[in-house]
Amino acid sequence: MAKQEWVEDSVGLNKRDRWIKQIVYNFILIVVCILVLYPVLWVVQMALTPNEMAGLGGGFSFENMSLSNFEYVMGHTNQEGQNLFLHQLWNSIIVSAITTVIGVLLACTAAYGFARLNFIGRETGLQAFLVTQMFPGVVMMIPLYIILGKLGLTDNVYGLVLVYSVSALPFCVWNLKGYFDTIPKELEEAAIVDGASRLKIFTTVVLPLARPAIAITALFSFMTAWNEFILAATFMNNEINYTLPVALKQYVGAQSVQYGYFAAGAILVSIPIMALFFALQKHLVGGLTAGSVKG
Amino acid sequence: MHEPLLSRSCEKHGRLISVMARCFLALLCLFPLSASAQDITLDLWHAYRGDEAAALQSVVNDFEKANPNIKVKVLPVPDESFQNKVFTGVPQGSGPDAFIAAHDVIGNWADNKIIADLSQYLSPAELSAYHETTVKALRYKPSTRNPADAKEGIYAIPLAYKSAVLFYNKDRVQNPPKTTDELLSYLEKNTVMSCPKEEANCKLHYGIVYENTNLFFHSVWLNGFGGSLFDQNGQIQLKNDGNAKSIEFAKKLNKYIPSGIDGARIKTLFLEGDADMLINGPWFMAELPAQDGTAKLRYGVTTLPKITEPGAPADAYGSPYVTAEGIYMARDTKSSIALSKLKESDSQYPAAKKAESERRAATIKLMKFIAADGAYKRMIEGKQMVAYKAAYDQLKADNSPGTAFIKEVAPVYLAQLDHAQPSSNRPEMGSLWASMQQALQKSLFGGPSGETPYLLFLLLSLIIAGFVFLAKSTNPSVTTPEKHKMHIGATVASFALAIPVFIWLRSVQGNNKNIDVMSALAEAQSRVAMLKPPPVEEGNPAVLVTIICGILAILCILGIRAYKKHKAANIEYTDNKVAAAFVSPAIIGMIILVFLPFVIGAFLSLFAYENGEFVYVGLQNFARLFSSDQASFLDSMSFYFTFIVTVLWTITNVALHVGIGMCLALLLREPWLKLKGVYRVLLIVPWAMPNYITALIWRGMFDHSFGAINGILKTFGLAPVEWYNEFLTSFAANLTTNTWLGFPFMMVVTLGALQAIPRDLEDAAAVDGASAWQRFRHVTFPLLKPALMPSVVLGSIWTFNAFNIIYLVSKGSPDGSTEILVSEAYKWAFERQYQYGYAAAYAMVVFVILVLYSKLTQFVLKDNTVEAK
Repeated sequence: MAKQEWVEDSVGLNKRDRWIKQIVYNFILIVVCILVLYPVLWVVQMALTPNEMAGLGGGFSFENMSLSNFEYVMGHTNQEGQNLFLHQLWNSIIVSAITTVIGVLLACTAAYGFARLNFIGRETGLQAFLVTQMFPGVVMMIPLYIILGKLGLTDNVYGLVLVYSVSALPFCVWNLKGYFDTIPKELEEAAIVDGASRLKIFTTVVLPLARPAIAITALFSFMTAWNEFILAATFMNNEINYTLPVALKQYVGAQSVQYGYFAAGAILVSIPIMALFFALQKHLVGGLTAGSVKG
Repeated sequence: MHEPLLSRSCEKHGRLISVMARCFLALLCLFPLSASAQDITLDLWHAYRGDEAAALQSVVNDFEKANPNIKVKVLPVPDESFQNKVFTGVPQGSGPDAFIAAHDVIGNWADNKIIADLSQYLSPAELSAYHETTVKALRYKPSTRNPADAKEGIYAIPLAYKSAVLFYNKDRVQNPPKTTDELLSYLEKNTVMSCPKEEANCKLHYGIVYENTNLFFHSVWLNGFGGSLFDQNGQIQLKNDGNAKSIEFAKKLNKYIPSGIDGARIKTLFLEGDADMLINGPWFMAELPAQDGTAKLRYGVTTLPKITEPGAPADAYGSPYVTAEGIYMARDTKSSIALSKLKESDSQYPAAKKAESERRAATIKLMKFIAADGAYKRMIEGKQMVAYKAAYDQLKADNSPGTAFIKEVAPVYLAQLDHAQPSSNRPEMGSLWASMQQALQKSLFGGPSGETPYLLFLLLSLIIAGFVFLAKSTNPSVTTPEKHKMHIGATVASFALAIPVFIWLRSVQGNNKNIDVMSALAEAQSRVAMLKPPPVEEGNPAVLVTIICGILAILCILGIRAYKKHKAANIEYTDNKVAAAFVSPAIIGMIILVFLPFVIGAFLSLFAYENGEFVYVGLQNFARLFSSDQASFLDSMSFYFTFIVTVLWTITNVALHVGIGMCLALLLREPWLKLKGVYRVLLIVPWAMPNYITALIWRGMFDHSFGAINGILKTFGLAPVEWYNEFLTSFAANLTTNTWLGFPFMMVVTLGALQAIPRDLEDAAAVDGASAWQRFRHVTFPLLKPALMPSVVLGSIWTFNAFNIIYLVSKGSPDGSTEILVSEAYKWAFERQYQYGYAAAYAMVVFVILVLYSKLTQFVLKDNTVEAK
């Protein structure tokens, strides 16, 4: 391996130059990482400062560092003694997981259709998906609310799931289509000659090859659902049915922000999504095509 | 032998039967009984937290015990989404039966038929049990098309009031000032505004601190000096003597108050003993240590001083605005909507009518219980200053030990009510807060001078021009070196010219210290007039017909063209049936949940929202938008100004995202780089964190007193910057936040695209002696560009619509100038008297701009690829 790397980058550098480059590159990247991570560290220190003292003014010190904010946020119970955090976490997980499943199913099938099939309105349909990204969300909220009301889906987890899985679709379809385009058609043609149906080809030939892009689609659908706040706050009429972002926003009041609780909640909300990001980050580079035509 | 078996089986069956019977009973309870009067479940929404929320819940529990057939579902809603939630929910019948809010929502909500007039449920005797000022705050005469029909009503039952008082540190202030003269002389004696360098143990110290640019706190002086925001006829009139005098007095106090003061700073100064007094409301007590004898800080509250300034009316006192919190009844609920759908002749009508009236009766019972019966509990447990007068007598009689502190402060707040007045509950008040803040800011701290908008315009044009030339210079299809040199030259010239303009602009900021108070007030007044919805005139239906015909015609033409093309190309669509199966689920979902709401929203741009109804107005919203709404083109409120800011916002963001992302990607792709995986993981953290969290954090980072950014400036010996007070710095704060959020996406996309580019081409160029820059410019970049273009287009569309960042970081300040088109649309829809049609017009314009933009890029891209071939 090591030898190959040397060959790959044979731009005529000697060992000393290589070392200098190594140091310079690492230095730049370390500085950038510090700048990038600084705000995150700020949240962490706020979360570890007891809420009475936490605030923009700081008050953090290692002596009074405590996990009391986390205890409060996670131990919060309602009237009936149910743990709100656990219920809301469960809601968030359910909503995001179902959104991911539906989103990936819809996006994969649609993207395959747009990438491979020859049908009327293919170009128009694809453009239509892109155009939706240009709709300003402001005008859509009230009509959306009315439509979901007519379908009987307000104050209902499935209403949220539907909206989320559809709103992540345009990006996912474009991304997946870009990836499907890079898979050689010959593989499928061979299968067609063997008499396989489109569905069979799709599930046995194409999908396994598109794993990185599917991972990205799943990540995006999950993230859309996990992070959304406005619709969840508008649609859900029961505290126990709130998703985590709504619960988190309750710490931001009209006159003041409960910074300690907010920061602790922010960290708890971010951890799962970060874990997913890191688990899938290998696929991120290969799977993100954003509709570009490669190869 | 047999007997026990039998009995056992009997027992078994008996159990089974009893279980079945119980199930049956449960079913009975669920279905037929719930339709009758037996069980009613009421929804109650509020935005309380902490003690207030707990006290409310406990009062509701008492109510449920007293009324076993009524259940109450209490829902705490985040403050930020409370108004939207009520506003969208109630007209659909999916809102609450009752909800708690401050009195400033009354104007908008009564006009738009969200809340019910309670006059029929409340007798004058009942109302007299509450403090007069709070009742006054909750009265309102809704606007109607015919002014003669307007009838004053009472729209809520008062629960609590919140008004500012004077907080003081008991260890430092023995006798809090009774008059403004005493206050001023105290300030003169006890304030240390600056420390000479040679004195080592000098510490900055303030006599009084308060948010002096916030009308809520300034109202202490505004009302005290006899100022007001409305004239006798109820028209907005800010230019009056009292207002001007109050601001002059605030200027006097401002000499003793640190600049850039905000809530967080006030709290810290007071807690650490660096400020002796402050003006704040009762909610502030929750942020201070409990006064149980062990706290380090001992504080008291007292009424605001008598105004003894020359020129003040005789017997004038500091008189803050009072916010009255009330409990409201929703005008529409599930049962009232069900009833309204039935005709009187329908067989279900009597039952529905009964259900509706029973529900209303239960609701009003709950409301009265919370307001009156629950008042004492709310006061003791929730630390509220309740409006119910009898609670204060009960407090006097209560000798339990936990009540000592509330006993001390409650009479103070009650006494302050004698010198206080409710802020107006009219819809215009919403825009008055912001406009008066601007007037105060300018009067106290100076404002930009007259040439600012022109300089700003020049600067923006130069920067945009610079980026346009930069984009042109990287276009590979331009082959002649002369042209390329010309583009580079133009880029450099534009940016170089921008620098002196920028310096000039910086130098005139806040230059204009002596802004006349009256002219600041006049400016605020014209701003309020601009935000007000224009009188509604019904539009010409012919316009609507023309528009629909036009859209149909365009669709027809497009269809025919597509058909002809299809014929000419002679393509056979072989997969229509299979494609239907593959693509239709996604398409159907998109049509119902994305296209349909959008089309409805688009049509709303032809309507005006007035008194809870949409009135067709034709193209008036667009006419108002393009005529920039009476403002000059360079005014920060005008559509054109906002558009330019949006373009600048998009260009600078995308340039930074791509620039930083690409640089990092080029560093990270080197195979010999150590710790590559670690860097890559760390650098995508901003992308992984939810952006509503990071936006709030960045807002804090740019905070004047405690933000990390000013902290860094201070360590380098630079003066702290008030980031949100000037356009450029405020814009920079937004830009920094969004750059931080956006570069990881571009980095990852670039890394992916770089993988597809063979390294040997570059290596070959290196062997030929090309420098690193030349290799990038002539080999890597041209190969990267087509792969990146779609992401750049997508990224710019996202940035153009990046509402969250502006809304949460700069909030449009100063004076709405950092607003972009979508955040402006949001404000029109939800924060400026629900001008939903006008907001929809804004959104439509945004949409058209983006469609044109993407068409343009497609066109340019096609052009390039053709030439490249």
